[in-house]
Amino acid sequence: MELLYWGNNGWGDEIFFASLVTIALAVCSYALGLILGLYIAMGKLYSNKIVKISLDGYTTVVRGIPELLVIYLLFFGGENIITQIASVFGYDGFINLPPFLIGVLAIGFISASYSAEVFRGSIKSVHKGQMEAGLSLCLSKDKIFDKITLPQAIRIAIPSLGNIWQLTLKDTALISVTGLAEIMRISRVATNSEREPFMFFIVAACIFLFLTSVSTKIQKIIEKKYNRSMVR
Amino acid sequence: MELELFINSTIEILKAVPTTLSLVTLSLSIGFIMAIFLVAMSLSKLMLVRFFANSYIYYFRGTPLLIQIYLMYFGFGYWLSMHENVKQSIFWDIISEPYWYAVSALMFNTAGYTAEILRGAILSIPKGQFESSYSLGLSYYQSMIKIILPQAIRQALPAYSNEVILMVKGSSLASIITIMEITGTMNKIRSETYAVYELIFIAGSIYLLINFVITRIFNYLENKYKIVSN
Repeated sequence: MELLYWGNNGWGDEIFFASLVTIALAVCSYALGLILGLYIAMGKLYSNKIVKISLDGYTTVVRGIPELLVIYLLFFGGENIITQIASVFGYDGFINLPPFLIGVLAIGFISASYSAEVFRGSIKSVHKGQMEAGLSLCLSKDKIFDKITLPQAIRIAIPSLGNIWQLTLKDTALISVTGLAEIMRISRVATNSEREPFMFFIVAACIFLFLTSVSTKIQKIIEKKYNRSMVR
Repeated sequence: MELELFINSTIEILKAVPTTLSLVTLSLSIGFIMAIFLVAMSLSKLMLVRFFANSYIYYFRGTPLLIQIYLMYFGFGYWLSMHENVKQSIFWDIISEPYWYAVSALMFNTAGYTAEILRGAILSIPKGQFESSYSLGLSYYQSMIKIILPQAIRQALPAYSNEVILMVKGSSLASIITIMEITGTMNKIRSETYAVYELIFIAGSIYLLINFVITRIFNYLENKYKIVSN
């Protein structure tokens, strides 16, 4: 048990800060995923054919290949692309991306492809009459979307978005392959250096279980809140 | 990346496809049988049995697959390797093979997810099905196996196809414990040639193809066993 003490003798503080990194990573990439996902869904529903096909391709590809490949692509290839883009603008030097940013982008892109599908489905499921009613009130198309369609779509989307949060949270574990000091990475390092096979992984598993169960609880509260007006 | 290198690495990655497929099929088939037992346990009348099954499902659905693989290989495997008498035993050839750790981790994981899918499907079967099979004189197990499970499995097909795709994607994590499946082979070539985009393109296309075939198969099955509703 001494191995879990706070300070230089134990891994308690390292594990604590690593959990904070994991949470921050999950929150940032989930937020990125939500925003991107909403725009992708809107593009899929309201844009011209070329945009539609390319966005369909994006969500199909990202959901069809392993998360690890997306992470590798950004981890090994992301800096190259950024450097090349920068050189177009006259900057000649190699740009290093911080691993946290790579993690947020990778998990965010994955999360976005899932949220996009959820948003698309829920926007489509809002009754057409709602839009017609908005038109009859002389609201502009954008306003109808902002004030009428989207709020109702979000209510429908919330349970699935909760599932995507859980997926995103679990996907952050994969970022440990890039060396970012999140829970998995730290528990692996601790296991190696202390020659203690089970303890750190079990601690890491418990942290993840704690995080997922807390988010299930919060999810239930949010669902209840949004369904207030729908109770019959 | 020159064309020759591109073709060579495509061939080399394609050679790794059987490893991925065997990982997936082996773990899925054993996992499915385990899942049936888990569901039976979670529907049991005994509190302790129910508790075990529910906490199993809770653990394997609540933690990342990576942690389960780590616990299996770096945890359990490492613990085994610390014992001299295990190292001397005749099983060491099997025990020291990372492939089996990956298979068992994937298998335990998919068992948890599949059990949850099946449980949902079984609970969605109307109670009248049970009652009518009782009235025909079938026992609980008979009605479960002959009446409820076939309907539940049909009900679970769409969700299960998702799970199969998740497994194909999850098998890429086996590369982390040095198994040379598609992702592992790709990573090996990448570290030798420093090509990134082309290799990820090749590996990604193979994964997409596998997943496409899987969705097709499940679509076919869903159409074949269409639920006829009146």
